[in-house]
Amino acid sequence: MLTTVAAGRVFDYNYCIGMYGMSGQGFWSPQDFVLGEGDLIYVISRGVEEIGQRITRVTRDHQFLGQFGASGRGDGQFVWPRSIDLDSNGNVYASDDFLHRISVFDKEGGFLSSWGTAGSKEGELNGPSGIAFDADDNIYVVDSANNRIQKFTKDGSFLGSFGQAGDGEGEFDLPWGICVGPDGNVYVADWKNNRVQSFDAEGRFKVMFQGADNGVGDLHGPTGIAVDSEGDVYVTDWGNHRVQIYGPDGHFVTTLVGDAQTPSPWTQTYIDANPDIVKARRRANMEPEWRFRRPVAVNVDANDSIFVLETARHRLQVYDKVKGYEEHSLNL
Amino acid sequence: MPDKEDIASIAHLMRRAGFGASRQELEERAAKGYEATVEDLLHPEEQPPIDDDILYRSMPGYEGALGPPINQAEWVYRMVNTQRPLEEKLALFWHQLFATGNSKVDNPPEITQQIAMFRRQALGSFRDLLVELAKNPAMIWWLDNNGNHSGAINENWGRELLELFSMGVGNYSEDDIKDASRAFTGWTIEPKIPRNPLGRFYWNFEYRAEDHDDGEKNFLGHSGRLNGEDIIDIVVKQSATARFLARHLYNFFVADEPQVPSWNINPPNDPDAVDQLVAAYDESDGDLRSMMRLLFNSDFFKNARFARVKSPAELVVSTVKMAGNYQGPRPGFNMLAMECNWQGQELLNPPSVESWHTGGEWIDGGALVRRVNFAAGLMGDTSLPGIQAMVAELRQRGVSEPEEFVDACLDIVGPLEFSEATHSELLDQATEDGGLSWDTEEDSEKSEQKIGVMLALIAASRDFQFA
Amino acid sequence: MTATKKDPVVVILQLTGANDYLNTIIPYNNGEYYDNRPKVNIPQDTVLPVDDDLAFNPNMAPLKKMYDDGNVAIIHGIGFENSPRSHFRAMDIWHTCEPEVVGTEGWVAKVVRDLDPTGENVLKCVNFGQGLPRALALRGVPITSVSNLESYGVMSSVPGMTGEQDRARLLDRFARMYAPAIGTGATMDYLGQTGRDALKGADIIKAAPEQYTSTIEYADNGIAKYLRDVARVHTANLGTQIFYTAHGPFDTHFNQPPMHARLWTEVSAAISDFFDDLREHDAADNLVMMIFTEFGRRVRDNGTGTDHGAGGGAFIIGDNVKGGMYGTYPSLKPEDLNQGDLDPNYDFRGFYSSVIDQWLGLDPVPIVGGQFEQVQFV
Repeated sequence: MLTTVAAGRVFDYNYCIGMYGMSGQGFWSPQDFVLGEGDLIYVISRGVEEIGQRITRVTRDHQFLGQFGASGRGDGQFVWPRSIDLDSNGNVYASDDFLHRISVFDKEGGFLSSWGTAGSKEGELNGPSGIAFDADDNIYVVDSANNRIQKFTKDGSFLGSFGQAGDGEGEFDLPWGICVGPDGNVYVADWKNNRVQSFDAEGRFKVMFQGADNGVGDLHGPTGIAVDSEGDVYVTDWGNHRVQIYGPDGHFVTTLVGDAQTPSPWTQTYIDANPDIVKARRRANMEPEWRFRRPVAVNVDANDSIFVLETARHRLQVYDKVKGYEEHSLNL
Repeated sequence: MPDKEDIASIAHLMRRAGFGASRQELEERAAKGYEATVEDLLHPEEQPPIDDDILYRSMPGYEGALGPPINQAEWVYRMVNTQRPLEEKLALFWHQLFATGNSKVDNPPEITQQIAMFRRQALGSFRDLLVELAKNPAMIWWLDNNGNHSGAINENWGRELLELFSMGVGNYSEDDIKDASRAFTGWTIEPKIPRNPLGRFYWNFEYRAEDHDDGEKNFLGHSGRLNGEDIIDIVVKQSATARFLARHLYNFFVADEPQVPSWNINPPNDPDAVDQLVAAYDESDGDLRSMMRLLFNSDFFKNARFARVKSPAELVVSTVKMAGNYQGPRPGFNMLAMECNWQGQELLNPPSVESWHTGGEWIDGGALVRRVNFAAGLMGDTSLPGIQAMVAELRQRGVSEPEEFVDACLDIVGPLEFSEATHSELLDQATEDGGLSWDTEEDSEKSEQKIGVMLALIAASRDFQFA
Repeated sequence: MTATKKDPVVVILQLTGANDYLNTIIPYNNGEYYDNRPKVNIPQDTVLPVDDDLAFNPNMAPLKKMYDDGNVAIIHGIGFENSPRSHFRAMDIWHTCEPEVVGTEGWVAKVVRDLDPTGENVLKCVNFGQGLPRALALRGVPITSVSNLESYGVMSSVPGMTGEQDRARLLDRFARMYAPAIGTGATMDYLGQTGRDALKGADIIKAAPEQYTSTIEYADNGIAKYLRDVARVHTANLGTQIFYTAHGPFDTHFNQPPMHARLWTEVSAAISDFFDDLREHDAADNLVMMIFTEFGRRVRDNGTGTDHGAGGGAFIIGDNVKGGMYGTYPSLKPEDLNQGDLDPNYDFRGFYSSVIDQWLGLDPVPIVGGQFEQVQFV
């Protein structure tokens, strides 16, 4: 459905951005993105087998502004780029869960520094995945293979950590994404435990997001999380190819499945260049193309528009949370 | 405690039923016993599968791979890391037998789906496997059954089903092919979502009743309004089918046979073995697990050590498993896939539906140079974890004298049984190098170097080309 | 080894991934071209014109100069009917000359067999690259495949064996391990023979880098390196008559302009340096280079690149080549396009036949599977 109405909320599909690209315009197995100043978006691509790794700068209206970062193990390069966020100055931070480090770039993509030491001791990293800044410009790092969340200054000085391996409250099994909500609470995608947990800024467990006992609203391998201005929580349910939406207290609200019936302008230009593809699309059932495939990261902007990034479709789908939606009482 | 002969038997079994195993695994399996190990191998469902979530989390590009060699890399990952060795080895066997190539299919994920189907059907009934094969979208496209229409047949699938996939040349008539093809009219795929910059899409089987020729057919002495499944039901009851399949299993798992196209002229090297496999097929109504059980427990199998030339995939995967440097997701599986390709076996893209020629025909000058350099390069690298473990084992055994050194190396790499000529060359090398010593740090370092050279020479030898 | 210096020699250069012919030899005064290529075009004021209709890509200046010198034959509209848009299938067709069925025997290997029926010279055909293209596949025809000329041969990858003495000792041991042995079986005998042949080939080819000196400084990229290797082996007079190598990837679906420019900059400079090098060694007159790609690309661009099309162009280059344009540049008029692609008008097997017949003096019919119209390039 292009419009989803549930529990007093209305989610309206708007449009999509992007397509596959080995380099230049396009993304390749994108993992994460962050909304920057104005209508700027940074998308981090994982590529495959040491090709295609980079950060792409693109606008909400489909302007390709360039890319930075590259494949490799040197400064400013990536093997397994995973997550991306901005500090308060707009500098770009990106994690690499193969090189166990965080790389820092200026907003134009110039390399500034990197930090991170492989290991399991305090402040060391093993497979760093999601990263997220808090309001004080400190950074949370999901230290995935160590099953903990660590907090650092933006220069990489260790501040603290919480969590350990397990499936109880405050325990993790290969956690992936993280976000800091508007209230300062920290939300962690506890990937192999199929749930999201929230914590206060000191790391004390607060709420579990995992659906009801009967399976409604459940998760399989959640990856990304975002919280809107009303406290609703969006989770990319990676293993089920959908986005699950929960209320602030953890109750399940509804599901989005992807609705990109109209290709992005980049994709449409590509299609139009190929008359046989145009014909084939008219013959086929195109629904699989509309739907999410490996939704991996989600962000919400100041207007509560919801951006969902799909690894396997190399695009962003954008929904609006509509306020004051009127349902006319005509019997259609 | 298992003795050396027990370990050698298990090592032989694991080379054939899988891609080799570490020394530790061999010892554990030998302690459990040969027949119990065979039963474990025959029941892959009792072992965990590859965790796809873990794989695709690390390597998202593997899922729905856009192009080769990434699809091949994914399969090599599975071969190296599987805990269900026979399931994976059988997937390779069925790929060799039902050779489907990306050169024409041009949708890597769709051939990967076919391989996944082979895993599911690997040890079930041959009939069900053939039915799944007939419905497999990659196969339909590969052999043009989407162009096989009522009133306008395309015989490609019908012919290869009989000639290459079940009975073999000379056991049916051209009329049988025509009517088999008619029976498969309407077996097609849904209109495809075309390639575009949003990744690949899977294809789906579709049966179109309106395009199926529902008329009377005559096939191998059976008449009626036969449909595709009826054809397969008849095919799997033919003695030629049992014999053809038995010979393929023998060629892949036991010992090299002449090339397949000559089978209607050249009799099997071991007719009795083929008869035993045929009997297992007949007694079990075409149950593949029963055939494999008979095969692995037979004397003809146990006595066939080093009677096959390793395929490139076997050479690459088994060497990497020994070196121990490709456990779990990591970059570089694409290079292993390319290595298979450069040695003459491009996985998921066999040269034609007749597949690769095997045995001695894996070898030509270029392929041999690559095989030698690949294996010697890994086995001679004492920094790799598997090789380090071998060095540690030799040290722990206190190996020192040249002869002991050579034999211990052959033992921990296999145990391998080398020809006298090769063995004497290795011994000359060890004698010139003066054996091993572990007394000082410097001695140990030198010994480690000598071991690296010895293992490299073993991997470079002619004998090492056999499994 | 008898070095038959003036035997005809062919270098085959494969542009892997399907080169965009429209942006290589550009119809720069054709409005249809610019209408179809809003994003991925070569601006009219940058091209290197040949005449009023066609021009070289601006990154091909060295080749343009060779063309002006009369050493480059350009063959327009090459391809085959029902050209598949699949790289793999199309490349197989180019490699095997089998457009209808899936072929397994390579046309180049058949040429090699005709040149050296007994397979006496393992260096009759040398491939530079990793693995063998199907064009070189044929049972019983030995092809030497070199990925690195300096370290070619067995035992080149053993860690720690960097010194020449170490390597020599390992090679010696290898030779002994592959020596004829009695009673080990047919496959062991065959392995032994193959291993000894490989050693022999490596031993001979080692002479190539040792004898070579040149004033030409090639660029630092894959094709320059391999063409320099070709020059080194060719000038060593080892009896090699066929060289094969490839460069790419020309599969420019995305981000084409910078990629395509870089590729042609590399290829053009490498070819020009290569022929200068051969001339310096008085070794250019008996050699021609053939350049092909699996197909051309779509007429219409897709926003940042171009997709798989049909109908491309090929080149024959050499000092004894009659330079110029051959055939007809395919029409870009909408009514002449086939599914949005150029319609090829010249069968690729004619291109092969021209070289096999006019340059190598062999009968092309059994090799390419029939009679095809040749271009008179000699």
